[in-house]
Order: sequence, then structure tokens, then C-alpha cells
Amino acid sequence: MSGRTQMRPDRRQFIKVGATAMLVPVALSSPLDARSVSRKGIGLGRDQRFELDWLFRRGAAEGQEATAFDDSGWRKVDLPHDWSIEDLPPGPDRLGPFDAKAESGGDTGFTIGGEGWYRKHFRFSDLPSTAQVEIFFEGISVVSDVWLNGRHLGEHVHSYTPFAYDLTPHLDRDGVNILAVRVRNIGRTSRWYAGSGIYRPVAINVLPTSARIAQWGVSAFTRRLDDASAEIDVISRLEHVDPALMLRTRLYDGSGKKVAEATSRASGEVAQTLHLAKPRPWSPASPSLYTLETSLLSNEKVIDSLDQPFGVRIVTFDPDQGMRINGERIKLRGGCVHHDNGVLGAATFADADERRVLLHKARGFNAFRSSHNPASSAFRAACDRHGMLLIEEAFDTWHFRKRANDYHLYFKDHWEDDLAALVLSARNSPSVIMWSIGNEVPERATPVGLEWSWKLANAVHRLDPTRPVTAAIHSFAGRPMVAARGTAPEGREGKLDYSSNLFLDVIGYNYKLEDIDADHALFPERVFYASESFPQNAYDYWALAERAPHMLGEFVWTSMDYIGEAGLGLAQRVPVNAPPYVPVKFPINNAYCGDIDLIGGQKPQSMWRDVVWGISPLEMTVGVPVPEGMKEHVVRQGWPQESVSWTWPDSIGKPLAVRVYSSGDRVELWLNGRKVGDRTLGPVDKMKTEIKIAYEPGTIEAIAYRQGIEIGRKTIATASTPAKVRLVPERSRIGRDRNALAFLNVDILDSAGRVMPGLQQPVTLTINGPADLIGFGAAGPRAVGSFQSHQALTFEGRALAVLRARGKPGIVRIEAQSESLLGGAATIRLE
Amino acid sequence: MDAPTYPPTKTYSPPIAAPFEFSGSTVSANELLSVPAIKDMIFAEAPGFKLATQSPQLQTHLSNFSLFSLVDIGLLTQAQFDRLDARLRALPAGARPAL
Repeated sequence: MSGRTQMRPDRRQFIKVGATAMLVPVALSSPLDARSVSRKGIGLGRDQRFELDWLFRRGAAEGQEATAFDDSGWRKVDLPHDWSIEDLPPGPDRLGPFDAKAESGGDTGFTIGGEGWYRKHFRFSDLPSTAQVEIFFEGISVVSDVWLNGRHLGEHVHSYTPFAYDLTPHLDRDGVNILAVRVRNIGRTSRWYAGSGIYRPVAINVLPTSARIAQWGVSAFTRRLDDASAEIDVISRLEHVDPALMLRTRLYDGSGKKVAEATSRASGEVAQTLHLAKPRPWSPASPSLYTLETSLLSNEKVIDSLDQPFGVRIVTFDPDQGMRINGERIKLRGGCVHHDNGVLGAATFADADERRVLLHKARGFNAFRSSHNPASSAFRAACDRHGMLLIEEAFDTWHFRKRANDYHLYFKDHWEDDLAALVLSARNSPSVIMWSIGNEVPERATPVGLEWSWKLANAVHRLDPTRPVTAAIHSFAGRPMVAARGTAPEGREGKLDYSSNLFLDVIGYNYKLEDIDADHALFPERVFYASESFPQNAYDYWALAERAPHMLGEFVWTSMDYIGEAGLGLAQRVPVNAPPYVPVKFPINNAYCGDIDLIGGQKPQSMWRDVVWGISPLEMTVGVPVPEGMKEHVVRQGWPQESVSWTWPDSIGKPLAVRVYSSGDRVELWLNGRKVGDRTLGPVDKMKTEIKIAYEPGTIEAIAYRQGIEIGRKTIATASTPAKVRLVPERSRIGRDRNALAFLNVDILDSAGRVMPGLQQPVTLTINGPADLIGFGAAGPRAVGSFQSHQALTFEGRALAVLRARGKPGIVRIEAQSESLLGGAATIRLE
Repeated sequence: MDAPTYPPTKTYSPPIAAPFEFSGSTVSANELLSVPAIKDMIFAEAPGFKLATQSPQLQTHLSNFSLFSLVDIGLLTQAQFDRLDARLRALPAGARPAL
């Protein structure tokens, strides 16, 4: 999808054909279609959003693809849509969309897939006879089939790769067209919450003739860069062209000024070089973007054109310098993220994806590993804009299953197309630094697996020879081997390596901290990164990264909480004599292992990481008291239960663990003006210490020093009783288009304005104005009810509401009420 | 500066194994369990691991674990591994899995 179009998804691109622009409106055809109102016409052009006014029905039935099928009783939905996050009919052991008996259990957070159908009625008026129409789906979860006017166009089986169908042969140019999409998420398809439905954007391309720029057909690569100039190689694949046509490639800077151009005669593949003077390179610190415009011309008139954001940068990897971007050494401060947007489920909105990126940036992250699947184009575009680095991952499984109905069923027949879709669609994003061919793939070190490792890596190198291949390797990396002549990656012929790593350019290790130095000693030319790390090891990973150039950095599992893998990181309270393994049961539905919680708040492990990464010199939390007769079962993927709270009315006089995280060499603890603790910190403490003090209400204060100079001070005061609800929009003005979102933080405060810790309080919202509430919930590890109701329970005194604009300007007023508390209100302007 | 490239290679030939020392750290659990006598030895020493191998999920991953790495995930104790490792190293070549 065009980057520019994504940033302003309502804008259509009109192409001038001849002397005038032609607008080809989509219109209603009959009263039967009165529900399917397309609010805007579709003209010639690419990337025209096609997400409004679909019809949806959950459930299987015969004949739902037929043109004459009566869909009058179906529900209208605007995409993106995820039915797994929608409330189920009430029943025993059900809370909102969460069902204790869900087939995938905690894997998908006790949500339910099944089968769903979408239909859309549309027609064109005055479509030129030569016009070609194509529909583009960015992602459907899980297996989809698409029909146009009853004709089956195809099946797609990878939930996260984009695909397109040519509608032209089956289009009714004069009458009503019916697009039908069947989506199946049947059985145990995923180890994490994937969602169900058409959950990513849909667009229509209408091109005037068959001559066109091929889908994802343009690749651009900075081949040479210095302060004075850059040389950018562009290869464009074209279809159905003749030499009378011309291909023009232009580069525009951020102000819209043309800064480079090349024009060539059209052919199946056109290679050009753009010479750019005084380039503004892209980097995490300075994410300068250009626009790369590719235009196909006939007699100097544009017949096809597409724009892409482009960043001028060169990324290198070597064991002596580590990773360098434009010559500057950069360490990866990364997070593994799944694709869901918390209370929105899997539905992909550019605003939600950008919010996640910015939440991470604020916490000092500079990189993501999109686990274990390709990211959305919106997420990638946000990474491009905000200077975040991205590892795009293709597969979680190859031939062997991790779950009964996962992608392993389709890998053998579909891997090549799906890998191509990932690489080709994302290869021009400056944020993408590596392609991962797999995560903890079961068979990777077997003889068959080795050949597949080569095959996948080689396929990636053919598609994009400008970026390295990686994979996430866990546990046993295999035995030392040497790749045969002609098989080894360039520069690695005759060199020894563990079998799992042989065909990787950069090695990702999951939870193998101790192996990085050891394996580098065995294989000194290799570079490594921690593709997954435990949050409890943040200090050790950072210390290694700081010391060792061959260690590029880490990606914590995970940087943000997600639905599914229920309880993976949750510290549970269990009887003191409980066995070491504690099962996770419904209603726990959140992995609860992230630095950032499900709604964007900071969790205790993130506070320690802030200190480790130098964002803060001092942070303080308090261990949540463990009831008598119980113990806290902390798992490696998680963190003890802690809270930024000094409100423990049931613990007066009892010892509480105050946890201080600091880069100082000494910390003091003061309670109500009395010094109650004094600790020195050395390297062995790893920037944390615990001081047990007897609880009394009031104010606790930590002061950190380095070489006698105060470097930080943190205070936590006892909250009084809940007094009011506060509503704070993250932005008071948003766009009006249907995909514009507003996020509001809902907090329960005491009379002094302190957030009430530990509080689960029901809050009810009332919305007035041109926006709909599409998500409302909190960040707790357990399901408590709907994410789509106007009422939600806070967790730790907080919740998040998400509004979706209806498509027209205006003022939205939101009011929040909670029993016995003063209500809150906020307004948002839609422009 | 010039950008690096990562060109494809032409054909595949199986990699050539380098000499290694047979032990509980250098062979996958899957390979060890493929020999009935070794399997019995491991299960006798670690009945908890035997129970765990009934899990379809673990079965899928056994080629990615050595006995040593099973200690890290709590399926073997260090003591169990040490005893098994010693016995594996002492096995004659004919008693080892074909690798």
C-alpha cells in the first residue's frame, strides 16, 4: 500500500488519462443494496480504501457466496474487523468474548474463531472498457476464500501476508457486483491471539489499461552513500508494456521538492540509478523520508503511478563494529511484539499501530521483532516515520506443527508465495533491517531442515539481496558443520558453524545469553543478537551489548502485553507447598509478560529497564504483599507482582518490600521524613535493591546518589479514598475519516489527584457526537468482560477507551461515570 | 560507503559435519531417544522427562533440545544431566545413534 495513502487513508489518487481526470463512481444499484452504501466514489487509481459498508455474518452456511444469496439480515461492518474480540452470547464461564471452553484455550486467550462471511455490493459507472480492477487484502485471519459474482477467485492461507485478486475478468461492468469472502479460523490455529476476519486494510486498484507497474514491483536500494551524494538503484518490474511506454522514477524530499529523476523506456524489468546530491539519510535518530514516485507513461501521460516512502540508509553488520547505520554504531534496544492492538483485538488501524510504536519509543526502544509473522504495513510505516528498526519474521512453523491446525498444514505448498509477499511488499521500508525465516522451528537442525534453511534463506536473498537473513534459534543450535562449496553464503565458504546457523547472515538466539560470547569465541566472524530475552535479564543483556561488538542487542519477550499465551509471565500466588509448576486457568487470558501493559501503561519491569537503559536514574515500586500461607510463583518470562503504590491498608506494621531501581551507587529510603534505609549499589546488584520496611501510611521517598551527588528522587504517597474519574484524551483533535481513532485514558483518582492503585472500579461511558466506542477495557491479566461495552472495570485504577470517527467532522463529548465518584468528561474535535 | 549485499547461491549440497565429541550437550534429545537402549537409560534416570515427552508439543521440539538444554527449562536436574552425560560419553561408538 502506498505510504502516503496510508498516512491519509481517505485520500484517493486520481490518475490523469488523456487531458482530464476520470472519476468512476461506485453507486447503489437497487433498494436491496440500500444497506451497502459506498459513501465515496472509486475512481481510477491505486490504494483506494474499500473498507466501508461490508456485510457480515458469523457462521457457516451453504451458498453464501452466491450472487443471489439473501444477505438482507446481515450486519453492516466497516473494516478492519475482528470477530474474535466481539462478545459471545452470554453463557456459563463466558466473559465478553472469552470462553473457558474455547478450543485453543489459553493460547488465544480463550477466544473463539470459527467461520465468518463478508459480502459487499458495489458497482461502477462508466468504467472504461480497458480498465483493470484489482482488490488487495492486506491480511485475513486465518484461511480465506474470495468470490466475485459467484466465481471463486482464490484461497489464501497465511494470516499475515498480503494478496490480491484480479477482478476484471469476472466484473459486471454495468450491474451490481457481489464480493463474498469466507474466513475460517477452525481448530487450534495459533499459539497466540490472532483474531478472526478481515482484520487488515482492503483496497481497490483501478488502472486504465493492462499495462502497469507489477504488484510490489519496485525495489529501491541505497548502494552508495556519503555526505555529498547517494546512489540509489531502482529496479521496476512492469507488466503488459511495450517499448513505446516510458518509466519515470522520481525522488521527492520531505518538502515535496524533486531531487532526483530517471526516465527509461519501459520493458519487463527496468533498472535505473538515481543520483541524489546532499542526501538526508534515514536513521533512528533522524528518520528522514523521501517519496519515491514510479510512473508509467504513454505519450507523456501517466497511466499508472505509485508512491512509496523511501529512506536513504546503509546498514552493515560485522563482529568488530556490530551494527552500523550510515557508519554509526547502534545497539538494538528491541521488543518482540505480536500484532494485536489490545482491547481492539487484531483489527489493524494505522492510529493504533502508530500509538504502539510511540509508546515503545518513549520507553527507549529503537527496534521491534514482529513475532512471528509479518507486521502490518501501517506498523511498518510508523517505524519508518519514527526511526524504529524492524525485523520482519515470515514463519513460526515450517513442516512440523506447533499446534494442530497452524500454518504447517500449508507451508509446503505456500511458503514461496507467502515469503515473496512479505519480502516484496516490505523491502523498500528503511526500518526493515533483517528478514527472519523462522522462529524456533522444530526441524531446523535436521538434515531436511538444513536444506529448508538454505532454501528459505536463498529465496529471500533472491527477492532482496540487500538485507541479511536471520532466524530465532533456541536451545540446541546443532553440531558444527561446514557449508559445501557453492552453498555457503558469500564469505562463509569453508567456515565452521552450528548447523542451525549455517545459512543465516545474522544469528538470533532466544534465551541463550551465556552462549553468545561462547559461540562467538568458536565462530569469531559471526554476529549475534538476542531474538528473545527474559525481562529479568535486562541488565545482563545490556551489559553484554555494551561490552561486545558482536552482540547487537536484545529483543525482550515481550515489550508489550498481548492477548493469548495466557499467564505466560504472570506471577501467581500459590500455597506455600504448591509444586513448582502452576497451571494457568481461565479467566487468565493475557500473556502478562510485557514491559508495557495491554493498554499502554508501564509495568514494573519497564521501570527497571528505564534505569538499565539510562532513561531514568531512579525508579521505585513496592512488592504486592503475599497473603499468609502463600508464596509468589515467579516465572522466568515474568516479574514479581509489584505496584507503584504506598497504599496497603491491610499491611500496617507488616514488612513490605520496597524495590529501588537505580544507576546510582547509593540509595536512601525515607518514610514520613525518617530515614529507614540506606544501601550502596555495585555492579553485582545490577541496578536494583530491595529494602524491607514496616508499612505505615504516608509518604515514602527514595533518593539516589552517585559519588555523593543526588541524581534522582522518587516519592509515592498513600492514596485516600477514590474520589473522581478522570478522562484524558491522548489527542484532543483527530481526523474525521473512518479509520481515525481517539484514545482516552480513564483513571480513578483520590481527592489529591493520585491514581488509585489496586482498584477495580466499574466505569460507564457515554458518547455524544460523530464517533463510536470500539474498545474499552483495562490491562489486567484476567478476563473480566467485554472489550466493546460502554462499561468496563479498571485495573490498578486505570482503563483505556478507544473511539472511531464516523466519517464526518464535529465535536465528540465523552462522559465517564462511576458510582459514588465525581464523573469526568472530555471532548475531542474531529477535523 | 558502499552497501553490503547478500546474494543467493546456486545449488544446495548437504553440509559436511565436523568432528565432535559425543555427549549430552552435542546431540539432540531426539537423536538420543531414537536408540531404544539410550531412551530407556534416559527415562530411567529422569521419569519426569519421560512424562513430559508424552506432550505433543514437546515431541515436536525434541530435535531442538540437547539434554543439557533440558536442564535450562527444568526437565532435567543438573545432577541427572551429569550422570547421563557421563554414561553417554562412555558409550561405545556402536551403541550411539547414527548421526
